[in-house]
Formats: sequence, structure tokens, C-alpha cells
Amino acid sequence: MQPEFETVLPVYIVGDSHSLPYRNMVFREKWTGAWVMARSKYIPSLTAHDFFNSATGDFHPELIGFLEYEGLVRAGRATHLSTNEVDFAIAKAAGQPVRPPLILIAVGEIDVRGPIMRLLKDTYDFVPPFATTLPLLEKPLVPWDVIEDAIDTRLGPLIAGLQQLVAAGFTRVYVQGVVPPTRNEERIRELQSYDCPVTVRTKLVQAFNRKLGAKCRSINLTMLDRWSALTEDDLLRPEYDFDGVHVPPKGAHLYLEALIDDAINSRGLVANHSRYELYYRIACGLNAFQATEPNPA
Amino acid sequence: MEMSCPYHTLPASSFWRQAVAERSVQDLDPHLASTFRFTRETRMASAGSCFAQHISRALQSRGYNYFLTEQAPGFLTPEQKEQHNFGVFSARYGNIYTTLQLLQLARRAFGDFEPVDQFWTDSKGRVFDLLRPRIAPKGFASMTEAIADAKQHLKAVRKLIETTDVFIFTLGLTECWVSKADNTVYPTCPGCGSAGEFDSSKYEFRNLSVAETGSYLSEAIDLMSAVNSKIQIILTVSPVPLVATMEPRHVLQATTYSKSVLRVAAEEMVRRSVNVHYFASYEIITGARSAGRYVGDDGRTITPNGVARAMDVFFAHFTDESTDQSDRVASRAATPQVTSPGSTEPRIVCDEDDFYRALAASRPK
Repeated sequence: MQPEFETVLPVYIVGDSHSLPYRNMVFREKWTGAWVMARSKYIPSLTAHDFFNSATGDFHPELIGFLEYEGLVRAGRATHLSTNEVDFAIAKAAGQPVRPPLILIAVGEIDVRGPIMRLLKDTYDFVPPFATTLPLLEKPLVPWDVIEDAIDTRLGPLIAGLQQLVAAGFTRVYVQGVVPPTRNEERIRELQSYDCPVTVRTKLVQAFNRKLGAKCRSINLTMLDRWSALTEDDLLRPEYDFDGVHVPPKGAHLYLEALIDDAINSRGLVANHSRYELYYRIACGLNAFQATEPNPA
Repeated sequence: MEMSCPYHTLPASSFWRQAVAERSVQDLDPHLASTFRFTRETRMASAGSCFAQHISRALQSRGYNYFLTEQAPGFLTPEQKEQHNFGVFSARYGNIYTTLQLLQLARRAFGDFEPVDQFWTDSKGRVFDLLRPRIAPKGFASMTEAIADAKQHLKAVRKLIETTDVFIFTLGLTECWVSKADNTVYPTCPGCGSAGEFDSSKYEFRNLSVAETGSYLSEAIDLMSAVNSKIQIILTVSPVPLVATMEPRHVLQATTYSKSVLRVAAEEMVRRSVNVHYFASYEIITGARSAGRYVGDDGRTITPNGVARAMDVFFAHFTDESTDQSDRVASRAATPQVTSPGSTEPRIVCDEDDFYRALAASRPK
């Protein structure tokens, strides 16, 4: 009896510990019934700030290592754009000959919870430039421009790196917004060795995500935002507070669903011209695998 | 009956020849022995025009207890602190030029006055506090932030007035622009530089009279003294001439009028109240004996030597270090002071810089 098997749609998830809830996640997406499988890589302490070095042009080494391990990058080039016969054969065998791979980057939470939150602690508050239901505390205010500068400094390398990925042909890259922070003040004290009220922490994350989302949009990428599903009155719903830092797998699933929805909606916009040309040449009976040079990763 | 002339009993300081003509510039000190002195423990606050920043800076650099009720977050760089006006004065009120401005600030701090027209939004959506137009370098990101910052600022001003030991105020101008709606006075004319849009239906020019200047100052001092019975006030008149006058007369005349009015107001307060004292920075810089020595080529900028001389005399008279100070006075007078290019000394923030830029931008090329 032949074993039954199906190919799956892989989503490659790489990032800080917020990539862990996706580990071994498999589900049927609701539109076509296809199986979706998360293939994740946890890079300890990865931050937006360490994602990419503009001076050297280098990504975090473990990021490239993951892309290479998954066959998305070979010899410094994106394999989905490659017209190399071996790369094409591998892609066909995996059922992914044409479209760029779906990649989800999960970074930013350490940037907020570390360097940025440390500025405010329990001493200061700030007024973000957007409407929020969270109250302003009776504390000295840090000018928004100062907070914005701090966020921009952390996000700069991430955005530069994402631009490089897009330029290399990875046009279906998504960024997970930072998850809403825990309401558990004691847990924060335990993690950070200082206090910072949940309203301040939450506004910081909101502000960070707004900047992250805007910067992603500016380079035609999408930041996945499940804030309203994860929160009530802008604070994290207790059922999505896994350990004071992460959301549980059901929370991560919300992000993955949003990714799939967007990927299906936008699949007409991510044509892989190299591979289309390859198919055309095969159909015309030509020698398809000539030495063309796809964009380097 | 023989009557002796009353002038015979006066000290040398009362006579021009002994007190001025026979003195060198370095020796000339236009004060009598002060009836008030402060120590390094005395809580000192200050406010006023651009020249007042020299006093706040000197107090801090000489290790006196300069009272800051709006402290910069510790993680700000020196550049960020300067841009956001932390540490320039005891609270982030920016320059206070007129006695009306001082009075309204005090009244606002105690909830007695709420301006109708305080905030202005530029074309990029940035919000400016017209009463503190330079307090946020690019304006506030939102009206909510601007209002929250103003509210916190007024709390800080109230705390300052209620708890400071000494308040030093430098009187700068009599010319000002006010709102026609409620007489709110602005530090600069809206639309002439920092923020706002000039609208003659909303704003009008006023040149405060002797009576007005004096009464506003008197009311401000009375308010402060009522909530803080121990407060001592030191008044001084800025020696810096007007950058421009709105009066239909020569700016030199307008300057003389303005400074005269301010000098009279200061004098009247000293005579009226035992807790008010006068520091003669105006006389030091502009007195006939100095003959422009302490003023730059533009006839307006006070030279570093002039600032230093004024500060040395200030500390000689109002602190308990008068003996040491007189040595410092003599030594500094003998040593040319040069500010080197690229000096890291924080700059004096004057609204006139924005005014000149706006003026240049508005002139046809």
C-alpha cells in the first residue's frame, strides 16, 4: 500500500525567542486547505540592531546559516531566482519552483525590553504621537522625539537588512510586530531587575510597532499586526501571556494566519521572472539552464 | 545757627569723582555692601532674558545650589539637553522678557490664568507652545504631548516658587506682543521666527509703561512672597540692547526708554520690599566708565570679559566668598578672555536668532 503524503507550504521563521512558539507548528490554511509548516530557527539574543551591519554588508551569521540550511541561499545567492539546473530541480522537488519563499522575521522585543525600556524604567513616562487608551502617569515626561530617536537607532540595521533581502529577491519577507507586554509587573522586575509600569511598557511597544510597520511599508514589506486580537483595552489578554515574555503557540498561530492571508492576497505581486523565463525556455525546447546570474543575497 | 552741608557726611561711593572717575574699570564696583548674602547651600532659582542665562550658568559652574525643578532625564546627551532646554533655567520656561510675562507665568502656575491662544500647529502637524516657542526643537509630536508637557511644566514652576530660597530675575524688555483676546503676552511675536503665524486681528504690540511694568512686577513679587514667605528676590536689568523696536522711533531711543523703565521698576521694588535686592549688571556693562569695553563691535553683544566681570561682581556681593572673589575679579580683569572656536560651552539661547532668520527669509532676494 502506498503511503499517503502531501507536500506542505513552508514558512521560514527566524528570529529571537519569539520564533520558538512556532516550532513544529503545522496547520491547514483556511483558503485552500493546504498544509502550512513552520520551519523555525531560534537565534539567541537576536535584536533588530544586530540584524545587519551596514558598514560591512553582513547579516547576522546565524541568519544566513539558516537560509543556507533551508536551501534558500546557496553560494551567496537566492536559490529561488537561480536558473541553475540543480537549484531548479531541488525547488521543483520541494513543490516551490516559482514563488519566493515565505519568510517571517521575529525581532524587536529585546530592543524594546532592553535598551529602550531601560531609559524610562519606573521614573519616566512619555506621550506617544498616536491615540492610546493607556493613562499618562504622574511622572516626568521624556520628549517623544527622544524616544523616537532611540527606536530609530534600533530599527535602522533591521530595515537596512530587510532592504538587502528584498534586493536579493526575497520579496515575501514578513516581520512580526512585537507582542504586547505582560501585565505581570513582578515578572518584569524579575527579568529586568527594575520596575517599569505596564502602561509605559505597552506604549513603548505600540510606538515601536508603529515605527516598524511604517518602515516596513516604505520598503513594500508587511509587519504582521495582531494587536487587537491579543489585547483588551490595549493590554495583553491573560490567555495570551505564556511566560511573561512570549505568547503561547495559539498566539503565534494568529501571526502565521495573518501571514498566509496576506501571502495569498498578494501572490500576484511577487512574480519570479527568472523562473518564468526558465519555464518558457523549457516549453520552447531551448537549453534552459544557461549561465544567468541571479541577484546575490 | 551754623548748618553743616548734608553731603559732607556721605561716603565716597556717593560721589562720582571718587567712586567712578578715580577708579579703573577693573576696580569699579557700583554696589554698596550687600544686605543679603547667599551660601552654597542656598537654593537658587533664576529666570529672565537671554542675559539671565549667564547667571544660571555661573551659579551652576561655580558649584552653587542651582534649583532645577525640571531635570533632564539622565540618559540625554548634552546636545539633547540643550535642544530641549533642560538646565538653561530652573524650569523649562525659556526666556522671560517682560514683567507681564513673569506675572502671567506665576498666575498660570497657581491656576489663576489660562491663555486662550497658547498652541499652534505647523503644516507638518508639529505643535508649538507659543509661550515657550523653542522648548521642543521641532515642536511637539502631538497636541496631547504639548498640553501634557505644559501642565507638568507649570507644576514645576509652582514648586519652584513655593520652595526656592532665592529667585533671580533679569528684566529684559518692555516691548511685547499680546493676544487681543485675553492679554496673554508672548515671549516673541508669533510668526516672527520660532513659531506661530502673525495675525493682526489676534495679536497687538504693546510697549509697557513705567506704571505697567512696575505694577506687573509688584504683583508677581507679591504673589511669590505670599506663597513663599522666605523668598529673597534679586533683580537685575539686562544690559543687552533691543534687537529691534516696533516703536516709530530709532532703536537706540527705544532701547534707552525700555532699559530706563526696567531700571525704575527694579528700583521701586527694592525700595518697596525688604526681600528684594538689586544687582547692577546694567551699570557694570553700560556705565560711562566701561565706555563700551564690554560690548562687541555690533554695539550689542556682551563680550565674555563683560559677562565675567558682571558675574565676578555678583558673587563678590551676594555670596560669603567676597574676599576670594575680589582676587578673582582682579585676576580675570587682567587676563584677556577668548572663547576658542569649537568650544563646548553651551550657547546662549536667544530668540533673536530665529527673528533674524525669519526676517532674512521674508525679505525679497
